Amino acid sequence: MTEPDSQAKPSALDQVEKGESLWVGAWHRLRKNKMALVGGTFILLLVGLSFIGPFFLEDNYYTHQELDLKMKAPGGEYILGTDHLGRDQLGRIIKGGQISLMVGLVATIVSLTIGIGYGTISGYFGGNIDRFMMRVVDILYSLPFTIFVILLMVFAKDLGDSIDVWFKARGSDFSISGQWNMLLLFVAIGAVEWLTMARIVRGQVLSLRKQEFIEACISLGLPTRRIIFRHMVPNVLGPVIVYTTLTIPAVMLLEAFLSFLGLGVQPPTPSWGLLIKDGADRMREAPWMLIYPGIMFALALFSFNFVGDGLRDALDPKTSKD
Amino acid sequence: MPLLEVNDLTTHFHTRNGVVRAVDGVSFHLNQGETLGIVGESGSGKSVTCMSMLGLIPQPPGRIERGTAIFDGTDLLNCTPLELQSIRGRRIAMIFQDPMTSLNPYLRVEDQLIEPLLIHRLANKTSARQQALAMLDAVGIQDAASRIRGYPHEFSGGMRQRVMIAMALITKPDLLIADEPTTALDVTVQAQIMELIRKEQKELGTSVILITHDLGVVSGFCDRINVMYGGKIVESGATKDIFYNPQHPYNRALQNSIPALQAKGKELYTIPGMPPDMSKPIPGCSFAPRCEHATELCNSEPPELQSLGQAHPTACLRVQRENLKP
Repeated sequence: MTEPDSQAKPSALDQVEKGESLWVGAWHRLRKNKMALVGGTFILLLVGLSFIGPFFLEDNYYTHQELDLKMKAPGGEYILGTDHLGRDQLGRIIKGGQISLMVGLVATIVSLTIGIGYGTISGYFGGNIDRFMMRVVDILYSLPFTIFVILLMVFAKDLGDSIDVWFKARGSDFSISGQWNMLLLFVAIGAVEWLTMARIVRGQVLSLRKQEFIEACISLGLPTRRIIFRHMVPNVLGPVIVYTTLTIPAVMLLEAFLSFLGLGVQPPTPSWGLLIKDGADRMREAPWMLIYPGIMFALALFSFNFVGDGLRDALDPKTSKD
Repeated sequence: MPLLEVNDLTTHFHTRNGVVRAVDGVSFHLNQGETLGIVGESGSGKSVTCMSMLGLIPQPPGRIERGTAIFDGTDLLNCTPLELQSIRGRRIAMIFQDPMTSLNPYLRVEDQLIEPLLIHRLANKTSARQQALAMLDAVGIQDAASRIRGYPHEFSGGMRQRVMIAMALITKPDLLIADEPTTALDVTVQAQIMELIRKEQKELGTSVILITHDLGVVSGFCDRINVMYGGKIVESGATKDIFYNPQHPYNRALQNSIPALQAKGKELYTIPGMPPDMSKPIPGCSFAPRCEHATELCNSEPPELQSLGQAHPTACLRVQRENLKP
């Protein structure tokens, strides 16, 4: 590197050196990645369609039934056809997208929060604390996920009703049982997905801890909490963001899988997983019931994966040295 | 009363391969406004000495076995972590060897500069920003007003070390510990950085402990010098005396191994042998195996750092008892 502070150099060098911050640089590199851009645009469209679209539809757009119009092929009034109960397939895909994306985001945030906190603490303190915390993760890893979720769903199901009763006894109208299943789903998926995140963050922090700037922080008298959250966490953010974009599709797949088994979202609320299941049951009579949700789901997964790949390349500082 | 008085500081590392006696009974003092150089080769315990005082030794495996370090009436080795935290950065600041890794790459320089002020509640955000700007200007960063919004990777090595110095001095500490501040920099920048530290020291009246293995750096910079070898101080005295009247054979050997212009063409002197394995107990003088003057006695009786009629204290039995001259 040059030495612009050696008096003789003109200030033009400062202009060059000012350059771009890591994030701006990452954005520039991401913009060159066509696939990631297409993926990102598609995700934005999907979010717009699922969350803003319903405002232009009637309230019962995904439950309204026309029983004489069962399994009507696409075309006419029903662009994507109807399902076996005569409900508009497009409306159900929109609502399903809402649920699937929400599960994807909320469960990812849950796993992100637990994973980053857990991993950072484990990596920063190291030694026996680290060993203990990582063994806990190992043990949780070894539990079969499906059984864990089934147990959680079965045993915690009544808990929602109990909470309602508890609130009612205190004269409150607060009711949770309607959303209880969704909440459980978030918890169940989040509780499983944070394990990998914790491992990734812990590895990053472990190598960061040896960096001199962390030692400099200590020698400047910074409290541990501040060192962890202000200096460590931003430094692990790169890999974490990338892993997050890969977690979202994984979580959506899990939700589809659970709903497919009848453990996740409960009818009549649709999710993409449920729609695909319904479609798969009537594959021969009404293939559109399987094809359209399937296409949406696949495209969403591809998009998230492309964005994740793009972000990984963009945030890698080595790619900036050209 | 000296600003800092270290007495019998002993830091050991308890590793799987045995106890490493990194610092073994080190005592020295530092007066207000004084500059003390700690010289020694790699592994002689000079950094560990200073890190022990600031509580920066990873424990375990490290352990401060005994000793005191009285800084302005407070024993740094026996105060609570919170007390130490309030001293670090505010009254004692430290500069590290490698400026490339000493700054957080994800935070703007400004945010890192104002951090010590905010943490120790010495200023609010607005005035901290102003002080940071003034400090950055003072350490010779051109166009500080716009550079302060930049990220560390937009600064060169020399400039980053300037930022580190600004960060260390922004709280106007009583003591600055510079741990090989110029080792990672090229020679022209080295001189600038040393000049900068001296200038800031004069302005703020800060005491400085300079840790280095570069005799050239200490000779022009320090008031007094401690020469360390094998976790012990083997010679201590005014800079002039250390250079013109070396006592300990190690110090003499060090002086002889400096490349000099008048010795052009001759082979450069090197000290034979290797630094001692600190994980094994050494019964006598730790330098004895490499010393050309060593006797039986040197291998069995540990020398004490004291002056028995010499110009300044030295830890060599033969110098003390036989007035050995090279």
